Amino acid sequence: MPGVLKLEGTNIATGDGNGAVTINNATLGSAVTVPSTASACVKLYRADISGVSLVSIDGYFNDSIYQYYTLRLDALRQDIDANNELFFRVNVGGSADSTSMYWNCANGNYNDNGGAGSQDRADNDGSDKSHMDNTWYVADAGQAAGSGTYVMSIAEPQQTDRYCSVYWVHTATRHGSSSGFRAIMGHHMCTIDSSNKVITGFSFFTGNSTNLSLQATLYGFKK
Amino acid sequence: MKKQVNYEVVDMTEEEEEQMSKDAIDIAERKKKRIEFIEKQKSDKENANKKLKDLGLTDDEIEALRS
Repeated sequence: MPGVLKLEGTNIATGDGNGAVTINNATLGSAVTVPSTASACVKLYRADISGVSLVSIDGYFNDSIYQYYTLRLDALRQDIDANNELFFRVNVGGSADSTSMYWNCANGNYNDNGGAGSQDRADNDGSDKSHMDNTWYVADAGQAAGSGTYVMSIAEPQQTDRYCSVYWVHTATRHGSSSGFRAIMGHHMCTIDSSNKVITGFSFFTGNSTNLSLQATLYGFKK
Repeated sequence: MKKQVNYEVVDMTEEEEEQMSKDAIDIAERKKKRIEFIEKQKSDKENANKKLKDLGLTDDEIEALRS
């Protein structure tokens, strides 16, 4: 949507609704057009997803341009009523890699019918997949308005000198269809012992192949 | 089973479906072990408390030992 930025009632910039911004500089007496490609943050992928058991987002990383990436999974739910956690694997060469190379740690807090609870987790030692939360079940069809959000920070997935580190924050408004756990959050990391592998993407799935619905968005942040 | 690769929804390969079945078994086993471990911790704690009380310690004294 086009828009205007004003300072003390005077138009100082206009946006065309497609990412281009024109700045009117009174001192220079001319307009400067900033193309959307000049932004330090670039949206690389966005999709509304439903009715699938596995989601693979692949082929968007380019470490020669981007220092790190933010991958958001919003409004994530299971399409049926089921008690399952969410997991990921990295993609190598376009396919999910099930090598025993995932090491996790996490902690978080939750509201249990008004009581405060905390939870640590670090039980993936060289697992063939990474869990994505502190044993919480993905909100499901038994609770119409519950959902989970994952905001992942992925640094240099294509480098092959060091292990890959992924950090993410998980929040959920429901544990499965439970009415007791209504506020859940955790922060998590996974070391992926992949020093000789170029990571091309990520694959997400639940513990029992249930169909998922979510909104996925991948942003790249330039060097 | 279906998967979405970027913008395209496709059928999973036989190999991928096998992997998903394997994952489901593995995850269920690990969940069972985790729950057993938590239950054992709870039961160990209850037993330890009972033994301390049998020795004559009060709840406050047991709490002081823990902190």
